[in-house]
Amino acid sequence: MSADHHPSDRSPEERAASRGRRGESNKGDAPPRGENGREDAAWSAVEHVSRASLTASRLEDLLALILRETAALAGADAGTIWLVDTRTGRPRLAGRIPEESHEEPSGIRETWGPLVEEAIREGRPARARIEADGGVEETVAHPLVAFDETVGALAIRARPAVESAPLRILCAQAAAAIQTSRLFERVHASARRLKAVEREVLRNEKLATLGEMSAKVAHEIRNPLAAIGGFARRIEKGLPEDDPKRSYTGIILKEIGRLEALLGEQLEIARSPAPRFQMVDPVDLVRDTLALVREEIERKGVRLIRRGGGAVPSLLLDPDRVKQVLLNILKNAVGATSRGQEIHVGTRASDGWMEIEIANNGERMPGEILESLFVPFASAREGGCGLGMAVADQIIKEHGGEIRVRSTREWSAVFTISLPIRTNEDRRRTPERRRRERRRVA
Amino acid sequence: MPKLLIVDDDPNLLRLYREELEEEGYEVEVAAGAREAVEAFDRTSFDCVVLDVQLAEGNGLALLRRFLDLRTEVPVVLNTAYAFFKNDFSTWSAAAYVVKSSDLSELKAVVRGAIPPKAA
Repeated sequence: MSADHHPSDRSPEERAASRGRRGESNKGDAPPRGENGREDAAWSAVEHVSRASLTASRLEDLLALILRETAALAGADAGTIWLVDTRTGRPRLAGRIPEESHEEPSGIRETWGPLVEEAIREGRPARARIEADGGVEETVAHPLVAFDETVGALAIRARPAVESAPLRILCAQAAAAIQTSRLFERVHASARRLKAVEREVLRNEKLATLGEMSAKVAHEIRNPLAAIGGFARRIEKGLPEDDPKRSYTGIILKEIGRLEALLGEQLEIARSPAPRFQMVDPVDLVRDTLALVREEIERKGVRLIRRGGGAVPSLLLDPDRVKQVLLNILKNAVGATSRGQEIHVGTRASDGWMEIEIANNGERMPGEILESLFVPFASAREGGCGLGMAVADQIIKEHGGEIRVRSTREWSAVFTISLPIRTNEDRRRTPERRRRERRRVA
Repeated sequence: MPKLLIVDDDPNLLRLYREELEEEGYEVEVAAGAREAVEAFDRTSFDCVVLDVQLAEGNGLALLRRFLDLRTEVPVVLNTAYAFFKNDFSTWSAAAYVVKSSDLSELKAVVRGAIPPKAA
C-alpha cells in the first residue's frame, strides 16, 4: 500500500467522502480523485493480501499483514487480531497494531476482549462508540468465519470506523488463511503419526525376523548335532570298558552336551519368556547397576553425577531385565565419554510415572542413528550387533513403560525411561507372594 | 513286538533312531516325508508314532491332525529341535513332546510310557 493512502495522511474531506459513499448518498459532492483513490486502495489491499495468502509461510506474518491492511483501509489507528483457541474455545491475541505499543497483555484483553468475544459469540460485527475530543471514536470487532466456523476476530479502532465490502473480503481472507493453516497442521500431524507407525512396523518385522533366524539356526544345528552325538554314543556302547578310545568318545559327547546346552539357552533368549515381576525400589536398582560400571567410569576419568529428587515408590518390575536396560544405556554412555566429560543419572517420580534419565555429554550420535536407535540392527556399531537398544525397548514396553532418546545442546544423548507407578500392585501379586510379603513384614 | 513309526526328514537321525529303538525291542518303520508317513500309517497298525514337527515337505502339525483323525487311539510323540512349542503341545493332543537331543534316553522313556501296557 502506498504512503499517500496511510490513514494519518488522509484529510477530513476524504473521510467525509468515505462516509458519504457508505451511506450510498454519493451525489458527486466528494472530490472524484479521493473516491477513486479509496477504491484503488481497497482493491490493492485485497490483492496484496490475496497474494500474501499464497506465499506467506507463517500464519502470524499473514495475520499481521491482514491487520495492517485492514486498519489502513479503515483509517484505524489501532487494531488487534484474535484466534479462537481450538482447545479452550477462547480468543487468543495473534497480532496487534501499533506493534510498539507498551500496553500490558491484560490491558489489551480488557480493552478489546468484550467486543471480540461478542463478535465471536454472535457471529456478526460488534461495535462500541466513544465520544472523544474532536469526534466519535468507534471500535468494531469482525468475526472471522470460514466454512461455517468462527476461527477468530479482527478488531479495529477508528474515528469513525468504516465497514465496507473490501473490509469484509479482507476478514474472509483472514479466516480462510487461519483455516488453511490449521488444516495444514493437521495434515502434518497425520504425516508425523504415520512415520511413527512405519518405524514401529519396521521394528516389529525385524524382531520377527530375528526370532525366525534363531529358530532356523537352532534347527539346522540341533539335527546334525543329535546325529553326531547319537552315533558317538553307539560307538562308545560297542567299545570294551577298558578301551582307550573311550576317552575320545567321552570328549565328543562332552562337547556335544555343551553345544546342546548352549542351543537351549539361545532358544530361551529368542523365545524371551514372560518377565518375572516383583516389587523393587528403582533407586536401589539404579544404584546396583551403577556399581557395575563405576570402576570403568573412574578408570576413564569420566564424572558421574547422580541426582534423585525426593522419595520414589517401589515399582512392580522384573529387576534383572530393567537392570539389563540400564546397564546397556550406561555402557553406551561410558563408551561415548572420555576424561573430564560427564554422565548424569537422575531419578524422579511424578504424575504416576517414575522416570530414570541417563544423559552424557560425550561423542554425539549422528541424527539418523539416534532416530532409529530402537530398530534392531539399524544402529550396529563396531563390536555390537545393533540389538541392545531394540531389546531394551522391548523390555520397557513389557513393563507398560516407554524409553525415549533425544539430544540437546548441552547433552549428546538423553535417555528417558518412564515406568508406570501402579497403585493396584496387589492385584498383580500371586496369593503366595502376598503371604510371603506379609510374613516378611511381620 | 510293539510297532513304531518314526517320521523325520533327516536320514542320519532316522538311521540312528531305527538302530537304537530296534535294540530296545521295537519293530521300527521310518518315513522321511509326510506322504510316505501317511501311506505307512494307513498300511500298518502302529503302537506309537514319533513325529518331527518341522518337516522339510509338509507341516508336521498338519500330519499330526491327520493321524489323530485316522486313528485317535495311536499315541503320537512330537520330537523336534524347537523348545518353544513345548508349552503348547497339550493343546495339540499329542501324547508327549521331546526336544531333540543326541541322548535318546528321554525319547525312549517317553515312547515306553506312551504305549498302552497290553501292546508292550
